[in-house]
Amino acid sequence: MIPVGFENNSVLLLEFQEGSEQAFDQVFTHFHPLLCVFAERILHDQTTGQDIAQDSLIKAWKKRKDFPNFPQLKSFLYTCVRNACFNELEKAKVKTRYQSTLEKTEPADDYNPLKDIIHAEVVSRIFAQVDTLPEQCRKVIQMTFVDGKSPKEISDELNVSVSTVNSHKMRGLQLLKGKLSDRDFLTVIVILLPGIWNK
Amino acid sequence: MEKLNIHVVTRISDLINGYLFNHLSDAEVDELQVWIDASVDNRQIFESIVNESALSYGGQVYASANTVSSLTDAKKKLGFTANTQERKRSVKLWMSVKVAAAIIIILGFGIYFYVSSPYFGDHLANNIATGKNIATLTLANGKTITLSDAKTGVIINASKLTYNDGTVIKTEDVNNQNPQTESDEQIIKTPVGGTYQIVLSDGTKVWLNAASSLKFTSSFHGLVTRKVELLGGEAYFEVSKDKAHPFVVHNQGQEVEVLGTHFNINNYSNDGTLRTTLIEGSVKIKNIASEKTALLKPGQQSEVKGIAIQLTNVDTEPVVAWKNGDFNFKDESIKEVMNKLALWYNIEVVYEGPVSTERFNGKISRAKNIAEVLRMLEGTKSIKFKVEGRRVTVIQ
Repeated sequence: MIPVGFENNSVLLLEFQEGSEQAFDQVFTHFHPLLCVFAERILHDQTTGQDIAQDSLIKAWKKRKDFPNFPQLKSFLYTCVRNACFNELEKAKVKTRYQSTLEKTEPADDYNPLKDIIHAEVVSRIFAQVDTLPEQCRKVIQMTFVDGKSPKEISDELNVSVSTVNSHKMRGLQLLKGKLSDRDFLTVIVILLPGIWNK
Repeated sequence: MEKLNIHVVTRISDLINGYLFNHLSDAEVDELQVWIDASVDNRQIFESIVNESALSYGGQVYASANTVSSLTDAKKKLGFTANTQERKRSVKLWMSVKVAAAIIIILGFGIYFYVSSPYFGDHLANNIATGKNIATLTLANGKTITLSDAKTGVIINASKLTYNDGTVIKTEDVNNQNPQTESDEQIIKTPVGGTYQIVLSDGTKVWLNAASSLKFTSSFHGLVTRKVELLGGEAYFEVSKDKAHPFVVHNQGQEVEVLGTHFNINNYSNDGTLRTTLIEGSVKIKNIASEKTALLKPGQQSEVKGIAIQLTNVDTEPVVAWKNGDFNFKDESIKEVMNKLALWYNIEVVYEGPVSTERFNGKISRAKNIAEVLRMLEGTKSIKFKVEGRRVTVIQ
C-alpha cells in the first residue's frame, strides 16, 4: 500500500495560504530539493538549479492564495522551474554563440518533462521513506552503511547487544525492501548460475 | 506543460516508489503494469527511473540541494525573520540525507533483481508451461487411457495396471471382459512436453522422453525373447537380468539385443540417425538394412544410419541427463539446444539473422521455467531471445 503523503495535508495548505511562516518552511523544505533534481535534469548545473528552485518557491509564496490544492501548486512550481531552466539554456546559447557555431540547441518545444518530473518525484519519495523508519533502525543503518561501523562498535555506542544491532539492521532493510519473495530468490540463483557455464 | 497531468505524475511516482520498496498490492502492481504497457515512452520512463546509477545520482543532487540555507535566504528575501527551528531541522534533514543516500545504494541491488526478475519489462516473461509427467497408454482393444500427471510411472502386469506408487488404474471393461493374453500389445506414448516411466512385466524399467512411444506386450511369459519396439523419440532402458530370455529393442533400422544392462536410445534425429548409448553391461547393435552388427562397451555410443554403424566414446552423463530431470548441454550447437527445449516446452523456434556457431555447455533442471533456461543461455553473451506466445526467436 502507498502511504498518504505530504501533499494530501489540506490543513498545511490552509496555513500556507494564510501566510504561516512554519507552513512556508515545510512547503519549501518539501519541494526545494525535488525541484533541484528536476532542474538539474534539464540544466546539468546544480547551483543554477538551486537558485531556480528557490525563485519558483518565492513566486509561489507571493501568489499562494491562487492554489486550491497541492497538485496545482506543484504544477505551477514545475512550470516555473522548466521555463526558468529554458531561459538559462537560451542565455547560455547566446553566450556561447560567439565561441562555437556548432553549439547544440535544446529542443525546447519538443521537450517532454514527464520523465524528469517522475524521476525527481521518485527520488524525493525514497528520501521520505527513510523518515518512516523507526529511529533505532535508522541509526543502525546509518552507522553500518554510512559510517561503516561494525556491529560491535554500534552495540557499544548505542549500548545494546550485537544481536539487537543485527536484528535492527535486518528489520530496517526488510522494511525498506520488503521481503524477498521466492521469485526474487530464484532470480538471484539464476544470476549466479552462469558461473557454471564453462566454455 | 499544459498537457502534463500532475495527478497522473503523482500517482505513477507513488507506484514506482512503492515498486522499488516492494510495498505495492497486487492491484497496484497491475495498475503500474498497465501504465508501463500503455506506450513505449512510458516503458522507457519506467526503465530509466529504476536505473540504479541515475537514481543514486538524483539522490546526490537531492541531498546536496542546500535546502536549509536556500530557505533562510528565501525568507530574508521575503522579509521573514529567521527563526531558530531551522537548525534542528537541518540536523535531522542531514541525517536523513545520509541514510537515504546509503539506502539508494543498498536499494541498487534490489532494483537490479527486480528489473531482471520475470515481472516488469522482462523480455523473457512467458506463459509457456514446463513439461511434466504425462502419457497415454493404448491397450490391445484400442482403448486409450490418459496416465495421471500426478504420478511418475506405470507398472505393467498381466493381471492389472498400477501406478508406481501402487494405485490401481481402472480399466474395468478391458480387464474383465477381455482378459489380457501373452500377445496383448500395448503402446505408451508421451506428447511433446511429456515424460513417463514404465515398468514392464519382467521388471525392466523404461523412461520415455518427450514425444516418444514404446510398443510392448503386457506379458513376456512364454516368449523366447522379450521384445519391445521404440516407435520414435528417446528412451532409457534398465533391463532386468534374464540370460535365458534376451531383451530386444526394435527400432526403425536397428535392433538392440541385450541380456541385462542400462542404455539409452535416441531416435529424434531428422535424418534417421539412431544413437544408442551404453551406460553399463553390454549390448549388440544390429543394422537391419545391412545386417552389420557391433558390440557396445560402456561409455560407447553407436550411430546407425543407412547401412553403417559407427562407434564413438562419449560422456554419458549429458546423454541421460533428461532421465534425471535435467538439461545437460555438452558442446552443443544452438540448434541442438533449442531442439531439446522445443520438445520439453512445446515451443516453436525461429532463428533471426545468421545462426550462432557458438557451442553451448551447461546444466539446468528441466523443472525450471523456460525463461530461466533462456536467461542462462543469454548469460553466455553470444545469443539473445525474444518470446512471443509459444514462439521463441533466437537472435544472434
